[in-house]
Amino acid sequence: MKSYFKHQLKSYSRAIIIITVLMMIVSFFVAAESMRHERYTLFVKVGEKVYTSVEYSYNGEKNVPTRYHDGKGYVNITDEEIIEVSYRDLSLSYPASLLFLLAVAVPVWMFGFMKKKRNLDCFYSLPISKRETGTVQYLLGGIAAVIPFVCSYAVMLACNASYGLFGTLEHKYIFYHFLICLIAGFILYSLSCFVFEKANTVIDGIVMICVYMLLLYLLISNTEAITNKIFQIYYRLEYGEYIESLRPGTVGVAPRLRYLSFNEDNAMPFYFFEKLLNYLECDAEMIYVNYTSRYFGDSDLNWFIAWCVIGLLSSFGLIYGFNKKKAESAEESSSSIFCYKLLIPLCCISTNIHLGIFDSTETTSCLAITVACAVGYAIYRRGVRFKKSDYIVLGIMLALTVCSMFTYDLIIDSLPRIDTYSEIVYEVVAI
Amino acid sequence: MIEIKSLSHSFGKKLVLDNIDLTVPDGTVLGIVGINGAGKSTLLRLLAGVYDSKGCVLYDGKSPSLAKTRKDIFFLPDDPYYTATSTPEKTFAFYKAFYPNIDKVVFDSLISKYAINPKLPLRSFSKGMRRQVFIALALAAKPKYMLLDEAFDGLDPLSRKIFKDAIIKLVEDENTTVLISSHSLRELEDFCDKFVLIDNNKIKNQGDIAEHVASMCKFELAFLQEISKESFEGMPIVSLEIKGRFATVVLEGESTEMRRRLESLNPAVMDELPLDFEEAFIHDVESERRE
Repeated sequence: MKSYFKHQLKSYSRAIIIITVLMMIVSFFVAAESMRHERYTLFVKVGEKVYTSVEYSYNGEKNVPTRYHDGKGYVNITDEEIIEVSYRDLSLSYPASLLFLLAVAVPVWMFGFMKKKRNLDCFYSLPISKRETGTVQYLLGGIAAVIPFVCSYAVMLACNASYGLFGTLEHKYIFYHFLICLIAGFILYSLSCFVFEKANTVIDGIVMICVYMLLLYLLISNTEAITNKIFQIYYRLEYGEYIESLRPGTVGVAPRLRYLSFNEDNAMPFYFFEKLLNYLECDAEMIYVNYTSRYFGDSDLNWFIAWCVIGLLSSFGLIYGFNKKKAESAEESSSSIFCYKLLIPLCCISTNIHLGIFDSTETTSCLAITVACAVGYAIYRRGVRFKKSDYIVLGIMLALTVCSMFTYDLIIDSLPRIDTYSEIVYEVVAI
Repeated sequence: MIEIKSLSHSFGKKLVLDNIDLTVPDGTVLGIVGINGAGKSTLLRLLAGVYDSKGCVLYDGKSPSLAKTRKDIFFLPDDPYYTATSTPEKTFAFYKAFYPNIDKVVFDSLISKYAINPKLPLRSFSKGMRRQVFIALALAAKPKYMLLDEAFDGLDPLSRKIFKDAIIKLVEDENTTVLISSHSLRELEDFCDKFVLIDNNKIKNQGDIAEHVASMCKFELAFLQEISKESFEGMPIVSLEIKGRFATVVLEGESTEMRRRLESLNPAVMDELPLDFEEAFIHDVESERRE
């Protein structure tokens, strides 16, 4: 394994160097562009005047500007005087974004060759186990994503330092930012590798990576909408009243406790990690008077833990799954349970129930989604010669679509209404 | 020694190999023959550990599914792996990572015999030239077991000769066991000790090539009157072709005995024709189809 790793590292090194240099150049130009717009210059605006020579100190919680030089001498700053203090844009989100991009693209590069029967004939006959081959590619991919990121990150920090800003930052937050970038990169990379490896062709692999970046969001937002609707039906509330009932102090705690919110936006890894990194970047830049600490709530923390678990499971699943790979499956339809077989019905059913339960006018959308999913299924099966299990899956999809199309008219719309809000309040509180 | 016991393989519902049993002693050069789609390549992939098998394949008692066992095996598929940037030199370096004892001198000598520039990319080579590079690699690796799929595909007569000579030398020097599938049966006949005929998912025939060829004889006969198929009834016919007063017959059995039996038909002229392995193969497959 060692000699294979060495050989592969050597053969990939040129490409890694080229990517690294390109990313460093991009980072440098992004930093230079930021500086051109003076986003890197710290200034305070007092009245109509702008002062760029500013001193600041650490007040026990954050760095705050204390004095500015008005050309004659230093003037102490008071909150009333300052109209605006500049944001210092460290632009650290650029190397992070590039890392995320690499994290989802590199698996295609590292594992793409394993989707060809011809290549597997060679690799699976060599004196190295499938797991070792896969693990070497996994590690190399990690290196191919991390090295360009680290170098471009260094370029960004060097550019910041060259403008004398580095010394005034909260360094620990830069370290946290860097660490979170690596963790996020690992999670995205492992998840992308895992789902790409489950596909049997490169195209399917790319589709899987794209789908999995949105899958959790789709499922959670649908689940959330459906469960909340069920709750709403349970309490027989009109939509406006339902929302009203969620306001603290309006009614008893019971309804609010039953209101499920998973902050479904966090189920999109790119969104979640960009948000998290933005918090940290702002924390590192905290220099302005009216600094409002960015909120990082329990839900975000839970999501961070959830994403870490997903990353670790993907990594273990990937390494464990290498030995299960079959050379015969390459170039065939991707029949893994992690691919179309499960995804298409899951997305179709959850979306249709979501749409159907809320409105009677979504019939066309429900049908369109079902037809699109059935076409997707036929593409996955490379034709319409379905197996018995396929007919069962498609039958369930169609049955649930029809059910969801009539749910609103037959069930929800026919529920008894309560006229006054006070009745609901009492009823809910009593429960 | 390679032992294959009850080996079967299917692609989905399609059975490709069914209950194959075979033993290949060390130092044997075994030709694997069969029509297109017979399962030759699948058999070699199963032996190389590329596919997981139902049944048992053992190399000196060890399974090829273990990476350790595969150190002794070199599998050259019909369409070998190379990348857009691969050159003969880089490909050698790639294989060196897996076969540390691969012989650079042998590789260089074969590459120069084939007049190949080791620094040019493989993608710019013809199919035959690429084949030459991989054959040089296989021979330089000096494995205990060499599995070659469609080995002569794309090779010119001179390259074939170099290849055959090198294989013979390797078997003599290293006692290498070579399993080679090819449609060039005349080439196989030159240097294979034994053969295996795969047809309809099973081994239909196997044994020593020379003995197998000697077990059949071919005669051309001319008669004074037109002759019918019925006249040959009771003879061990492998194939029979009648055109008016002329007949060409391949019989299974010893030549002298068959000549004696044919003489009972009173032919005006009877000549024995040489029969090669390719013809024997064609007759084997045709007789199988008739059955």
